[in-house]
Amino acid sequence: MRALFDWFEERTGLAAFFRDLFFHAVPGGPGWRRVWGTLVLFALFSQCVTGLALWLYYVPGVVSSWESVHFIQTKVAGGWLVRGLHHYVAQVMVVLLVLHLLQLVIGGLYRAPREIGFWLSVVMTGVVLATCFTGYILPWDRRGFMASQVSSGLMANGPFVGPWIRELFLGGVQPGQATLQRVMVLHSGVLPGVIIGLIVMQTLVFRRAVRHERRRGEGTAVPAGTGLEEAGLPVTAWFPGQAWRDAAACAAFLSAMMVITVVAGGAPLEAPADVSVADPSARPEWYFLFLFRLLHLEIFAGSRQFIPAMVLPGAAFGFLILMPFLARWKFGHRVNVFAACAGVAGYSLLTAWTWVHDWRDPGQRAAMVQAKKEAARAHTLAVKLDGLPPGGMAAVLAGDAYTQGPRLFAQKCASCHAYDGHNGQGRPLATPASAADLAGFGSRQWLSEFLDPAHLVTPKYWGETGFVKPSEGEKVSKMVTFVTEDVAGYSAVEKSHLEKVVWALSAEAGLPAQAAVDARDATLIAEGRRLLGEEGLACTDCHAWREETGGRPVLDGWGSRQWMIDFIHDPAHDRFYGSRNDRMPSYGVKGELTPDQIGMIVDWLRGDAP
Amino acid sequence: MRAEDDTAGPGPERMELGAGVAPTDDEATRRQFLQKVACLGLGGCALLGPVVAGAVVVAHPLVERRGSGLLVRLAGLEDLPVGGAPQLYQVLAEPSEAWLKFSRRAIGSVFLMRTGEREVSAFNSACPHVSGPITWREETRDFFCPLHESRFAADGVRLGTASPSPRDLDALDVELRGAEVWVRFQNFTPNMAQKKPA
Ligand code: FES
Repeated sequence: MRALFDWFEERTGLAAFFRDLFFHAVPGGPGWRRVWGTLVLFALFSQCVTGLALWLYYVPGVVSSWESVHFIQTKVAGGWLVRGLHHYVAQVMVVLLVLHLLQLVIGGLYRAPREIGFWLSVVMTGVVLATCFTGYILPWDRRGFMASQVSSGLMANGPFVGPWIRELFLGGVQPGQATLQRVMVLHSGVLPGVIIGLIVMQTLVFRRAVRHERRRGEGTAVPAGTGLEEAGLPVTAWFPGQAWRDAAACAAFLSAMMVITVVAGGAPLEAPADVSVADPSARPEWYFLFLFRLLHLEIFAGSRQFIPAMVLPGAAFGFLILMPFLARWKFGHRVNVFAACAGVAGYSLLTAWTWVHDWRDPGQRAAMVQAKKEAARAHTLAVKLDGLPPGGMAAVLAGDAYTQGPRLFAQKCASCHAYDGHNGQGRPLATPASAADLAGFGSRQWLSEFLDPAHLVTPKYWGETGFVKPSEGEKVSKMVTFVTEDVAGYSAVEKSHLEKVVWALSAEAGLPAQAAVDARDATLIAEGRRLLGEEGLACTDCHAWREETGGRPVLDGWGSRQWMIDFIHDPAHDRFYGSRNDRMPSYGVKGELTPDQIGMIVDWLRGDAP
Repeated sequence: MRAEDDTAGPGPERMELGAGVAPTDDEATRRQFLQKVACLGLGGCALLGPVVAGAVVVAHPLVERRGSGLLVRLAGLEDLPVGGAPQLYQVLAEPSEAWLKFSRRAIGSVFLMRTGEREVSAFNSACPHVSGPITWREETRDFFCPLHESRFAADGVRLGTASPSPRDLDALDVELRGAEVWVRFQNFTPNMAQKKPA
């Protein structure tokens, strides 16, 4: 046994290596402030392990990134936990590294002979940031996609070779399949390799520095090995005095990360990337928010964007590198400390500024709510479908009424119509609504308000339309006079008739949300249908209804899916407004909306989508 | 956590450890021992944490639910003459894998053989050895796998003294619905003595 050990040891020196590692001298004695290095190492270890596990399931690709991440998140045993750990440890590692740099600067630990160790720490921070950045592109959700788009856009603004760098990064002219592949290679191949290299160099340099210091101690002519003690610095072995502190710190760190992951329910996953619309709520991860804010400063507008994007970070990096030299000057160290603190303060300020700015911007808040809704919708749909087509989630969402309906409404309808007071996506209309609010269209409530003299002439219904405010040479619409004059003078009996008529017409719409109520009130609804005719409110005097044909708009199937589709296709059709159409474009006839798109708007308005 | 409890009193240790190259008294030895235990316990927990979590993810295939088969209509009784040679039928389905669901395609094939007026037997055409493509040989009236030359009788029982296959052909459940032949199609783990659904 012994012989085998010696044989092995002679060839590898492994035991000696571990002896050196465990019993290397910790100058200054053990202490909690020395746990940083080990903590960072531990975080990297954890990232490697969780990263490798995720790698087993993650498939980079425009039709597989989001899908495989969602699969990890919802189906793989422990997947959400591992992904959560990977996500949150990455964030905290950024903090650890920055604090560590700050600690080095404030403690003067960047001065000779530790310059190189310090530089390695600076580079390490940069490389870790790059790893985080590539990491959040990978899920190819809204944030990931926008990150690739915005960052590559900034690259293009760089001087001379900027556009080339952009295309090299993207692997093409647009973010897409090749981008994900490249980002994956960077994130799980190149950058971790560089990090490991940096750690190795860091270790070599560090050990050398310790030895150097000890030798310096020797120079003061005290017994070897105790030099630092004589110089007022106690020296002890790393193990176990410092080692147990490091271990405790790592265990506490991991526990905290677990708690955060569990409380947050794992890492977030937004709706899948959508190349067709830029998400206005998109923000980079919090540690890049300072850049986001800088980019919004007017002085950096236009062709000067590369200044905050490249020059400022470059300058900060350069300054850090130069710190050891600056420190040779009498006040250099103080300048360095001041600059480092100012940098961190500025960074925090810009970050907080973005948060506050976003929070106070109702448009951004609405966009964030909408983005959350779409993420939830994508998640629900993916779970429900239990298996996605090879075209991926984006293909499913492209045909999803809940996703596309509000978007199309905002684009096409919200120039006149509101939806519950907003543009369908939670934002205010660009110009005040000039046609009826379509939220709840077809419901009993909508209809009874429409037929109420107190409501019809308000902007929520027809108040701003040509029916109430006719143009030159036109008359107020007969429907408006009917409501404001006839209905306004209704007796109690007629009012009860009106209610039944409302129920009957609303039943024509056949809204899914009203199905139960409609079934319950079947007899009253039948009564209401009869009251539409001559013996009731005589709607048939103007409107086509059952055997009474010719009038318009047709009330048969009013508000039903098909009725609405036909209406949006061509409101000026004889079945609907005919020549009395106000300003509504014939979207289908003009080809402005495809039948599918009209269907999605209608399904969304009616709450029909599965 | 424990780390916090310990921060309360790092003072004396630091002095002692810092000063003592060779701790002499029991107190110091005891402290060192406790520190070593803490190293092992806390360090072990910390290192094992991500490893265990990662291992669960790696092991996911072991806990994945197994399909109980897919009931498909393969043929009409009239297509299968009583006592006739086994006929091979393709099974069409929309297979799903991980997050994907594919469009309709062949996912395997089944031998159907009418053994009686209302009796049909069905075998998965994948060889129970390592999934080779079984064929029916009319001359010898047996099933044959060209990969390692397994042979099976018409009732699926292995033939020959040393069959490469560890089990007989994988029989599938058959359901006759009037004149329709429905089969519960299923694959089984190859090269095991038992039929374990895959
Ligand atoms: S696979 Fe059929 S005999 Fe080996």
